[in-house]
Amino acid sequence: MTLLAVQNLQKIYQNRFGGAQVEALKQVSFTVEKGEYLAIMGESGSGKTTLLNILATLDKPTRGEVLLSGNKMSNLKDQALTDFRREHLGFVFQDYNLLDTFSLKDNILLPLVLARMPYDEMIARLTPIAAKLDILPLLDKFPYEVSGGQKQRAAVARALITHPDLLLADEPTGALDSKSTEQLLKQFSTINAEGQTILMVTHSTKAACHAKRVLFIRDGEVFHQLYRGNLSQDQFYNRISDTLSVLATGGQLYDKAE
Amino acid sequence: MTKQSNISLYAKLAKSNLVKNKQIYLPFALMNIFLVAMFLIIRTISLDPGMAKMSGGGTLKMLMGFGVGVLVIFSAVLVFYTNGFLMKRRKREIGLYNILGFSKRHIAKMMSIETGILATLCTAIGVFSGLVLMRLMHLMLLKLTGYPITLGMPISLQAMGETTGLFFLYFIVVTLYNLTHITFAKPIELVRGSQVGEREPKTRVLLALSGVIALAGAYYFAVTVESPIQAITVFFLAVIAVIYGTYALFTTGSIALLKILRRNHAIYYRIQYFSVISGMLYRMKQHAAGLATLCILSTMVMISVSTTVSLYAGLEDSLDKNYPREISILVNDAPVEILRDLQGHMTEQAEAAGVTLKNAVTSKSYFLITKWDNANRAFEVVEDFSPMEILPLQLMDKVTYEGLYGDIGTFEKPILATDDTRILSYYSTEGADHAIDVSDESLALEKVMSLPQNVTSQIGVGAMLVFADFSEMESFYKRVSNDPAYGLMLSVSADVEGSETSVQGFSNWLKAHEYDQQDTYFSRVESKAAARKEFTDFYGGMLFLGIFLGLLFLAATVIIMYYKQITEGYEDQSRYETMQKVGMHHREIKQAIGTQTIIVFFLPLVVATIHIAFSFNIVKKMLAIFNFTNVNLFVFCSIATSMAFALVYLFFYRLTAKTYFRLVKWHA
Ligand SMILES: Nc1ncnc2c1ncn2[C@@H]1O[C@H](COP(=O)(O)OP(=O)(O)O)[C@@H](O)[C@H]1O
Ligand SMILES: [Mg+2]
Repeated sequence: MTLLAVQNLQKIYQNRFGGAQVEALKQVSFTVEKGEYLAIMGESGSGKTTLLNILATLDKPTRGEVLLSGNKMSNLKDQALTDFRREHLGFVFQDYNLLDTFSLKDNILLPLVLARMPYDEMIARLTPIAAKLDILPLLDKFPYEVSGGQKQRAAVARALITHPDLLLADEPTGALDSKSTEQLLKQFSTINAEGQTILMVTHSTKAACHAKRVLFIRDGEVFHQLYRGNLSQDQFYNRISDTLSVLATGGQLYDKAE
Repeated sequence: MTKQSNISLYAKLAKSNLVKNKQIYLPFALMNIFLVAMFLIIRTISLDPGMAKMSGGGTLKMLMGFGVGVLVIFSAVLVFYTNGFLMKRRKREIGLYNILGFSKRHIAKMMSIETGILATLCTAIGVFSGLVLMRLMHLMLLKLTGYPITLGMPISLQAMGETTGLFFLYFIVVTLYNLTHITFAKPIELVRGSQVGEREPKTRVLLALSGVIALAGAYYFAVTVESPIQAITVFFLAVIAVIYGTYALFTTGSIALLKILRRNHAIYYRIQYFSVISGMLYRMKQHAAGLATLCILSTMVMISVSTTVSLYAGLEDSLDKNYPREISILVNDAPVEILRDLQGHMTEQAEAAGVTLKNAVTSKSYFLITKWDNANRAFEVVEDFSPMEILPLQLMDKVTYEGLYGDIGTFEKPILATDDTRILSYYSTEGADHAIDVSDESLALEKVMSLPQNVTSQIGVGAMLVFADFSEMESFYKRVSNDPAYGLMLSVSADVEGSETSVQGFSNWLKAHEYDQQDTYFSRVESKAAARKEFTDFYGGMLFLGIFLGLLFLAATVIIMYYKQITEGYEDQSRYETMQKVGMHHREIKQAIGTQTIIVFFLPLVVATIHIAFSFNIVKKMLAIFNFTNVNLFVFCSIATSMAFALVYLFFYRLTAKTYFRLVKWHA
């Protein structure tokens, strides 16, 4: 079942003082099935964040359409969009975006408070998620009291607590050391195994090889994709690296895995 | 690079910095311009030779001198306080300059030029607007004090020089302070500066307790203070205690309150409180001091305006109390027999001057400075008095009393009249002897009653003894006084038929035709009209000063409110952006800001109103020193001022709250 359909997305950034325009996305189309774990790869400046922000409804495309479970997002107005985002999407940012005024617990509960859920229900949801992400003993701490990895896991918990249809992550391991990166990626795999659809944007091969499918974008277009299939993680890692080196030399590719 | 181009580079940078940060520098500049203009005006008036030559100009000069003093101190505090906000906002930018390779010397140069530009602009525009506004303020002062409008507009080079000098001094000191601060900071600290994670504040029990004690003590004194003189002595202490208590309670109480709220899940985890309570708790330390300042300033605005307006509005009332009749001739320490003669003199002179007198009264009275000895339930005549304790005791005979206050009925033994609650409560207790002890003398009393409504006196009356006849009073006085030969005050008073000019004319006539019995006794002519002029000078000057200081405090309130909102808006920007990304509506942000308004911004106003309410008694007593006893008028003025202030406060709050919303609003 197709969960997300992205059709001919174009994004042009208009420079504020007229002048130069930047075409961050030219023409991007792809679909995501329910239960998938998709990584989108590209070099810095290739338009990954732009794409993710549009999927997260935090930004609007210049042209093209995004459909979630068949619903056109362009039909949603400001308020409805905010509600839609809260109810159907969860996202994780590279720099955590935790609020320093809240304890980890309150940070995680924030979307539920915004959804006006009763306190007991919130707590019932919080405990299993916090346990899964290994932050149960840290819940009463404030962001400045915990490590980067712990902050990011709290951010993941905040994204998951609404039981979103789709989890969006923009370079979630970008600010983490290798041990925390490993831990977070394992948890992503576990969560995906339990049925959560994940779309992750990254420029790290190490992160991408945990996914089930990798999409490459270059110069604002989907350039190529790889399915993991039955490959081991290390094999997949090598495949991705190969693809990237071809990408870097500007050559053409066709997908052998398909 | 040549030195020349170097300087122009810094100047360019300095200029662009000011423009880039105009959202914070413009209000700072406006505030300074306002302060400069205000200072120039009041300094010019205090130096004005034309004013000093007028009768009563001396008092006015003194009042304005007081205003100058307040401005000097207050401007300094305000400039430093707002500079703190500015530096907090700019630390990051300055740190970046440092990291980008500007040495601290370069930064110092750049910032000095910035301040130089700012100082020059502010003083120049301030002096100019001061000169423009001078006409208006001067006219207002002339109108209030009743001086002739023809009095020329003062322009004083000395005042302009002093104004410029003073504010340049402030700017220089502020810059030096900023530069030392930057010199000793690491660039990375500066970059983080404005967004460093604060630790959650602790609840400080001791501070809270001392605050409660200070406030309770001040309130207690303010409410229970008896005599006007006592009120004056206690007032200053009470003010300090209230300021301390307000700061202590705001810093501790608000944190405790927020923590309690946070512990209550049913309240805390609701959308309109969630971000507000946590956000406020997060920065309550700085928040609280600002709120306490707003509270104190609001109190000062309201008190200074309401008291001076009351005094001015109650002028006629006070005159009536002091001068029951238009014209009086007073003679001290003369034998009582001359009273008839004095009366004759007045009538004769009236005939000679061609005016008709009416409502003539005579008065015979003594004054004793006493102390109420609460342990022994006795008055004690004192020589060296401590103003805290004295209780002026006036003696008068029945004729005098009835002439001034109307019928008192028939009685034999003296009547004690007082409003002092200690004395009244003693006499109302069961078994209290109906006698008064004055020093070692005991005097049986007919009854004890409260003072007449419109008691007249210039130094305030603590208690009054009314005797059935004069000789009885005289012999009593001679027994208890330390100076029995002196102290009798005789007077004849009357109203004059006709216009005010005929009253004035007769008063001058009387002064020219003095009552003197072979130069034995010294007599004095007092007229209500002359007193009215004096009162108008003084109360008009006070009102001017009250409005002036009120404006000043109001400006301070507004500027502090603005900077609070701006700095918090900037601090909250990323926080609210994240919340909006996670799913918060604009409507909910507005709601949250609304909640914050109610909890935070109206708290100072509410506490200020409580201060005002508790200050009511003590301020009323102090006003009595200025012969103002019209309680209803004072209540009215207090309420009217508070409401006007609340409206102005609300207006400026909404203005700054809008700026705040614009700052934290985020659009997809
Ligand atoms: N708000 C913006 N305004 C103008 N240009 C932008 C904006 N955001 C991104 N860009 C440009 O769009 C391109 C893609 O950026 P981005 O999506 O952030 O890439 P990535 O996340 O892959 O590094 C870049 O050239 C970037 O400079
Ligand atoms: Mg990016």
